Amino acid sequence: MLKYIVKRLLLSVPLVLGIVTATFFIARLAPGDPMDMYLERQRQRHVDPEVIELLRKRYGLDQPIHVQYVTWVKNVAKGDFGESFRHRRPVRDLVAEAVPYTLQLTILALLLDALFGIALGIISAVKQYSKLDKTLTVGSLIVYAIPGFWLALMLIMLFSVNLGWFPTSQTRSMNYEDLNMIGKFLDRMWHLALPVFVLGIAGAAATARYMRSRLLEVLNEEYIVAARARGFRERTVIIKHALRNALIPIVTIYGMSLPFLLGGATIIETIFAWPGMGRLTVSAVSGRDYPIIMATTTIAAVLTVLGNLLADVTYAAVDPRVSYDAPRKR
Amino acid sequence: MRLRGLPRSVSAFATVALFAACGPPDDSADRQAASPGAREPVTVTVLVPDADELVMSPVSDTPHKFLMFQPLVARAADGTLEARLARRWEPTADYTSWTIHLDRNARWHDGVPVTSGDIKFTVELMSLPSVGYGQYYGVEIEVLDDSTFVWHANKNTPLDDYHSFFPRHVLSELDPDEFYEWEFWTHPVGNGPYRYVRHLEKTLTELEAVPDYFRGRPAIDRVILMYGSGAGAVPELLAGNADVIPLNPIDVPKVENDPRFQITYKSAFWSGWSGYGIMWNHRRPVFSDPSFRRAATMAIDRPALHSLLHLPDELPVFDVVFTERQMSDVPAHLPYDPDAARRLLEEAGWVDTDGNGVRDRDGEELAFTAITDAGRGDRVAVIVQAHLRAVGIRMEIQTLPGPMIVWQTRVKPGDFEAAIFWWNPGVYGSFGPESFLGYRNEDVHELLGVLETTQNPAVVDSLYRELWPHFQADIPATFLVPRVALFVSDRRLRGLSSPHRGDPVWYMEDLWWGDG
Repeated sequence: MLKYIVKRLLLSVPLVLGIVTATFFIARLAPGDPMDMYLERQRQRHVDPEVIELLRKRYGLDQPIHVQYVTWVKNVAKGDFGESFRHRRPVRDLVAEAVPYTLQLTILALLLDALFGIALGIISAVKQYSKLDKTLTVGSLIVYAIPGFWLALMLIMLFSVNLGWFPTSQTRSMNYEDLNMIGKFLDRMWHLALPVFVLGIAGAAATARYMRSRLLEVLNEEYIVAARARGFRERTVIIKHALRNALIPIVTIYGMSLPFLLGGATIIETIFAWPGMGRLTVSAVSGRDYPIIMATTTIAAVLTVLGNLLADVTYAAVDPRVSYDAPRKR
Repeated sequence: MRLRGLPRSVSAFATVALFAACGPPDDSADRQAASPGAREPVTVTVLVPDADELVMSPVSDTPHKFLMFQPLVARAADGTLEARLARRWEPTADYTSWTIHLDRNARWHDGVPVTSGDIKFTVELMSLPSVGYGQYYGVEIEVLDDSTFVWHANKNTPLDDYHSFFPRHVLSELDPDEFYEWEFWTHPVGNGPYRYVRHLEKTLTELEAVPDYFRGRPAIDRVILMYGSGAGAVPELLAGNADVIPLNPIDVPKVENDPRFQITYKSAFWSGWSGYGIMWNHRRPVFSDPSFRRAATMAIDRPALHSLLHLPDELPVFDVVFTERQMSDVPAHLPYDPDAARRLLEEAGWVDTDGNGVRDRDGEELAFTAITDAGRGDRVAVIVQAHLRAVGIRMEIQTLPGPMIVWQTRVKPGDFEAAIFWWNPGVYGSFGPESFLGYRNEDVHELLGVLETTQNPAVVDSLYRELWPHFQADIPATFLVPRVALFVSDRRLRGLSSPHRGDPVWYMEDLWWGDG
């Protein structure tokens, strides 16, 4: 297994390099450059051309594109993603500020996804073709089909604007500093409620569908028939025998959620003014902030590769039939 | 003005109720109503969309800057300049230098007087390469005494009504190479009507009125700058979490008929023109013909365009360049008259010979490509396209990401037929001898040449008036939508007026909270 992991990690290096190289050149070859955006932010007032040249030099934009690329790769290898054109701060600091916010959101969303998705999937499978199953099936398909941004806006209008139950955006209340530790925790949860619900519910709908179909497959396996024949209670058969096997592909799916965990959810973060990685990326793209774009793309690429690897390894760990070791000679 | 607090009721829906119950204790009060006389504390919450995480960005137009720092002068409601840090000002005859007398009562928030040395220090600091701020190009400050200095520029220039200045006694010992890391930007010592109270990361910055502010204590006691997103601005307003938001014109229908709110706007004109227009490339034979430009202009229903884009009704439609002071005095614009447009085109030989709806002449179709920017530009362009098509002109649209990109990559090098974009290269750059449009009119060039030599408001106004007949005859560009910034605020916030005092943040010190 270790050999397999090392091999996969080595193979992923050229893959990640390819992704970030493509991103680097696509971003740089698009029309306009960051100084155009700088001028736009200066509201088109007269700006000293010498300053523009100085800024170009400072950010290495006066160099040929291949030189910029080599410099960037060397710096990234040292963990330096450069300085944001817009914020004039190290990208590393900006990313470090955004990641905790994204993790709060995505971990809770994944938990919601898993709890509701798996539970509803089990109920649906066990009560196959019942009214409840049909309702859950139609409901999950509808929820899955609803665009997240639309759902977010509708929930904001209903629960924040009309009912006033939840905040419309932000991460904490204005009186946050005056709250005790429990109050602070509850306040954060209160602010997380809507974005987590929007992010998690669509995933839960998909998970419920996976879970239902997988559990139905497993329930038709011979060993389940055998377990029933041996007189086990139905609850034991489902939970102890069927569920464990049905969960294997689900676990794999969650393994692939790693990029989502740190990459953030761009649209939801933007709508709820959640200062995570997704929002950082969106504002960087609109402002041609190349260092941030490259940093977030690199992080996403690395996490995607690692997520796939994690999924494969998890699959082998939970299913004893799967082995990545070389087959024994007979 | 209500602080955000506990949900008012609990849902029967279990999940919702669980999360809803997580709200903090409700310590909010109903919206306060206080007049300047009744001294119940008044707090106004301003939504700041997509702000940098610095509390105050020294080189950006963040609201913090206009609340905590003062420029030398500001615009009065009638568009004239009124005193702020400067008490008096006199230009030289050629307007290349201004002698400025500071208000001797002006103080930094730590009580130290604001002096000429602070102005000189700021200009020199911001001009350093490590700061990379380019707007003090050719500016030098000559200190005459603590409250008098001369602002020298390398060309005639209007009095600066925009920049803020920083305290020398606080900053002079700091390392300018670490300018952007200075803690000062998160806890600034300003000279404006509001001072820093606290900052809650990614959430808000709270400011309070300076009690002994040299221009008089503001009637609004506290200002909370609340960080949010542009997409969520209107819901924040509707939910009562924000009292003031910048308004995207696309959101106007959501609030314009709500009696709780008022919409104001701030003109973003500089002398001449700023906004969306069709910039015709006069080097192309078709566009060099004034009758074509006139026909195209008359084919577009510009008042309807304003309405479709949800711009304020009182914004003028015009065919000429003008100063801010002349905004309500511009000459009548060419009417929307598609029949007259068709006649003009037919007289110029443009006829639809093959019945495909597009006019042609000598085998050449009356068709062109207009480049525009994504955002509002493409929305404007689509409407223009439909109107032109109705008179037999086919306009294709090519969209580029932003106005600066349109300008830098296509318009400035002359690689365009027509352009609809949000950019202001200045009246001289647009219509002078080096016109990027290729516009030629010696009388106009001469008048613009004289205009370049003065900042005298009366002379400038008069020169613009002399330009008007030329613009009305030539229609060198088709002006479509003037540039304005919209704001929506609680109707009880009093003292706002468009177009010069439409921005509540810039003029918070002059506003008050009215009853009912």
